[in-house]
Amino acid sequence: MTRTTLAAPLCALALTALAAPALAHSELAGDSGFVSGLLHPVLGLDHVVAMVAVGLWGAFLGAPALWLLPVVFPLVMAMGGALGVLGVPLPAVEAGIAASAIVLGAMVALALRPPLWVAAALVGAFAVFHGHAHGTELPEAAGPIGYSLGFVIATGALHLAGITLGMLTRWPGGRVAVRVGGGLVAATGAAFLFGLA
Amino acid sequence: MPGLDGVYAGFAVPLAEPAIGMLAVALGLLIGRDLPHRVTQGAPLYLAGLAAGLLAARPLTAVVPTEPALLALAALAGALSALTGDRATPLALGLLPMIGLGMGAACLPDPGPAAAMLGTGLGALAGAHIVLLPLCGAADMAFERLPRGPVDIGLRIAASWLAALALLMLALVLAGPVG
Repeated sequence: MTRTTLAAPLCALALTALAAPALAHSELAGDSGFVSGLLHPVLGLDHVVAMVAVGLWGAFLGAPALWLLPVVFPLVMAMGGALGVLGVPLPAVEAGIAASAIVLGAMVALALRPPLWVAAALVGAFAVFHGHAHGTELPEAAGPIGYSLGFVIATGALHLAGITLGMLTRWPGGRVAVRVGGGLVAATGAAFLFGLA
Repeated sequence: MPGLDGVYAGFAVPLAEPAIGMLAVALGLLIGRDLPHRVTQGAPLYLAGLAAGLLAARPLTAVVPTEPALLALAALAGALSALTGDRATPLALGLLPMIGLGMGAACLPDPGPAAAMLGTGLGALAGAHIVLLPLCGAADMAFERLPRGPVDIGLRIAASWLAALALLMLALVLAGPVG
């Protein structure tokens, strides 16, 4: 088969892959919950920046915080999620999420290095708010199990993104870039807290 | 052959019951670390729990609902594996009889003809434990052949995700059906 004859079917295949599926409903028709769960943390900017900041701070602090923070976060987040599922009220959830971005971003921006247990406790405390926000929406999801799996994976992927960005601290210029990134995270959190975003 | 259909039906039980599958994966992540020690020291404890679970399944499940118990054990095993890695072997060994008890109680089939019960029970036990072989083997091989640090972090993160998922499912089960 020549290059020309291969090109047409390959182009067609590529275009097919790029085409958006025709959905019967406005949101993710046919979704078993997994896709909704996967997208939920990604679509909320306040969630995204805070979770990236967890990975960023972990990478900034180095081992063992590098793995401890991304391990503590989903565990405590699930506890917060369980509270949300069970209908246990938690005050100021949205403010807590915004505050998590401010504090974690500031930690990176100011290059603060508290003891490991303080860092874990701080990340864990904020994880409760993120989990509660997800948990309250969980029982209404099309497939709660798929939704849970999706959002746990998305959370892990966001931490991983933060850790990867945090690896830039190996270079002097990268260290500055990471601290600027922390400042941006804190600014985003502040924008949410004060209703500017 | 009498009971053979039951073996296949039983084998699929862990796939149909996420709580059993999750507990099996949590067990694999728990004993996959420090494998030689945890298998040699843990096997008698686990098997004793499994036998007790099979024998006492009826009264046990009448008092303790199976699904929440399995999910709680999966969350506990996952959290232990994530937070302690291979440093808390005594704690992990202490959890094994409980996991065996839950697994045994969950694998006992509903009452019926003896051959069918035997077949389904054996199938469920095999199905629930077959996942351990690739998991433990992969973990052991990864520790042997790859740098220990990244493998340890990967297993801890996988265990924390599993624990988080089990905890959320436990909350959903306890909350009951919506509407």
